[in-house]
Amino acid sequence: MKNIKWSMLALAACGLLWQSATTVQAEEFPSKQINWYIHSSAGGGTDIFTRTVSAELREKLGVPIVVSSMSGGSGARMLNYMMEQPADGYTIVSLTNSNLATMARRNTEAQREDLVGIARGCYDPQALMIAPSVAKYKNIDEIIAAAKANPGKVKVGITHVASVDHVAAYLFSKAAGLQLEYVPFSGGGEIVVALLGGVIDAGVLNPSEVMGQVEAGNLTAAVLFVQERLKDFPDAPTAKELGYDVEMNTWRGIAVKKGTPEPIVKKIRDAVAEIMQGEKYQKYLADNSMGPESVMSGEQWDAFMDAEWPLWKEIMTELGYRK
Amino acid sequence: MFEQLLTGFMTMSEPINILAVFMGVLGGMILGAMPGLTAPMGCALLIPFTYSMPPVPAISMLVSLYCGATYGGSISAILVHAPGTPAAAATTFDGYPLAQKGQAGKALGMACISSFIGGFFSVIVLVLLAPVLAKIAIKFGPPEYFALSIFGLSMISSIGSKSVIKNLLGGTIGVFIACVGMDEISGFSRYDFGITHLMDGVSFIPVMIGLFAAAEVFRQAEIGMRKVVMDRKITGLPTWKEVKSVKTTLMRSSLIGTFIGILPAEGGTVASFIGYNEAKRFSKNPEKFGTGVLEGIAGPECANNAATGGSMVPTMALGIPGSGTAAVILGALMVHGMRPGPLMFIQHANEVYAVFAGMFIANIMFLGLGLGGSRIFSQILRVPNYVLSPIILILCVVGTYALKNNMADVWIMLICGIIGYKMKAYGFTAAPIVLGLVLGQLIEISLRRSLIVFENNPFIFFTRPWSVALLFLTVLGLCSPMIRTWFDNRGARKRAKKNGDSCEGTTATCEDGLD
Repeated sequence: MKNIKWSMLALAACGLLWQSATTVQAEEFPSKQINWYIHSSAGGGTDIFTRTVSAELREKLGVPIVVSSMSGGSGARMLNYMMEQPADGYTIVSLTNSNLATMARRNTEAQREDLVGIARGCYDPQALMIAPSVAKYKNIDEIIAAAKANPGKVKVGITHVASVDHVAAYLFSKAAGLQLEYVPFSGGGEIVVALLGGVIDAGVLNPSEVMGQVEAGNLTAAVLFVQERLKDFPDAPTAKELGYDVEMNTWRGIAVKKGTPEPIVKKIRDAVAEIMQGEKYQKYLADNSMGPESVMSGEQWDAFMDAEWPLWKEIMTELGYRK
Repeated sequence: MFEQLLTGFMTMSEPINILAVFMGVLGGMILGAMPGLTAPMGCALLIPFTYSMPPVPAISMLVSLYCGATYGGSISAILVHAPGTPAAAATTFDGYPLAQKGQAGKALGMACISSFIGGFFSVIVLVLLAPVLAKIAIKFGPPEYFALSIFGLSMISSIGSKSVIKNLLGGTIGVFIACVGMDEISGFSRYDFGITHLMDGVSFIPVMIGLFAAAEVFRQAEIGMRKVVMDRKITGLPTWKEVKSVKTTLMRSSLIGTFIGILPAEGGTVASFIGYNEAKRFSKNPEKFGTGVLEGIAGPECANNAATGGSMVPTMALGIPGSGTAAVILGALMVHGMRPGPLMFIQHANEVYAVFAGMFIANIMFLGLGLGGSRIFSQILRVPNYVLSPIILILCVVGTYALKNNMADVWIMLICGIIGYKMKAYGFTAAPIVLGLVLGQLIEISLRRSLIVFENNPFIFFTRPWSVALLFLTVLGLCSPMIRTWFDNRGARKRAKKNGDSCEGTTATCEDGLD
């Protein structure tokens, strides 16, 4: 009996000690360099997003923050590396839905549950776009009619298979009962060329990336995969308006490994939230044609990802990409 | 247009803008000369620093860095057989042998002048014709890219060693390496043996650095400390007469480079290979190529710098990047509130023409820096081998690692170094492998994409005009040695006839008769 008592006491003491240790850890955090990893190469959207936030975070936290690109396997290498690091807040990753796809395909040991969101920073709408002057089908009704009449004959350009644009187009076709032919390209620019050259009928793009062509009247959106219409495309309906509940857009956020002590997570969340509400960050969003609704707190974003995650697993299984 | 360009030059004459261009060119040259450190990387690192700048100096600095780096790659290619940028790989073929002969200054000078002419020409084209030429880029669908890569691949038969079989074998190996990793059409990884590092495929730059630079370091180690390139006069620049002697090559490569640059999926690397190959094809002494002829430096160097202006055509006029570096510059344009596309020349005319003026100035600047500096650069060859070789190897390792912060790339580089070193003993050269690797992926994906888009119709390649033209050029190129022999023989026969000899029939019998 005595033994149990003692061991209980010891356990309690340990607990207290651990508790105080983490508090101390959080109070001290950050006391050394923070390493921040991105899965894409330098100069891309994720890189610019990360550098915009990290520059200010460096000042806020007062420690060096080193951003490194750890590309490979669409985030697999970055996530695997993160899993090997201690959950202490000194390893931060930029997360996009491509990484969610990688996790859903089980190309990495990491899963959605292994990550805690710090904040979402970008929400870039996607649209099914067409080149009105050369396209065979001038609006979404014509595309749907054509795809129904000739299954598999309407060609839709996507960037890489199993990517967020592939999934958006797939979800739409599933909801509308269509069979589309997907043509994978290596980037949005190639899709634009193929659209303008009349090689494909439509393509999934982020309008923000091709605003130059939109302003010139060469490209327009046929259907949007966001909830609300966009002011740049007053005539383009959302998928929801057409009666298909499809929402699939490009997002980027910041995450740490699960198990990072709560106070440390809170500290980073607070600092990042402040940065993202700031003038500089809002200007970055505006310059890249994204709205202020892009920003989500860590809690909100975690819930958002929890909602999207099962969808990814389901689609990757359906498309045969889940290992 | 000329007024706008003049206003552009006025804007550029502000000290801050000139300084930005100068920093860009100088930084680019240094970056370009370092194997592994590339122009896209340099531009990406610079972007955050340009946030606080006005758009004109910011974009001019990036564009100048691009021009400077494309030229800078030739410096290390010529001096130590380490192409600083992928686009300088073809420059090693004749640049390095010439430097080894003790004429490094001549090689460097030729590279610099050729780069300048190519770059300057392409900016003129960019200013005058960008919106018109951008339409060609749109005409290039998947079938055209397939035809273009077939054309590119046909060069394997003539670039590299004397043996066609060995070149073809090398090219096949290159194409096979290109198959490793994610298959873009199916979305599954191939030949990766479960290794995460191979999922994205074998990157081109580590292979190139290994085959060219590391292999040469190993070879030098074999030769040992005996070799010294010291006493000869190595700093002399090419004479005016020598520059004039390659003027047709320069003109041809300027056109080739600009054209290839305009195509969104192709950049300086393919341009320089084609530039080299065409220089060789049209040369009076093609057999001397590879031993250090000036045409062999002018051809690729002029073409790769012509691709800089060329790749800015779709970037500015369509909002579609014309090369890897142009993609980063495109991002920077958007960061600075400019939306590249057909309206940019109207909405942001002042900025656009100022950037064009900046490109002109950048080209002039690296001409000055390059010619002035070639004396200093050549001093590298005075460094004894046992000091120089380890330094090069270290730079190779660091540069390769810096690409993706990935140790796996370093291993690939070292393995390729050993392969490249061993291969040489059996008469293989690196060029066909590199060419196969560059074009392998494009050839596969453009073929499969064409077939998806055109519903498995194989005749599509023969019904689209650009595709037919390129395939015809390929056939012509492959048959040209035979055609040439036939013409030569006919010429010989005619001459024999003119000589009044009664003999008829084949040249052989004629010659017999003359004997």
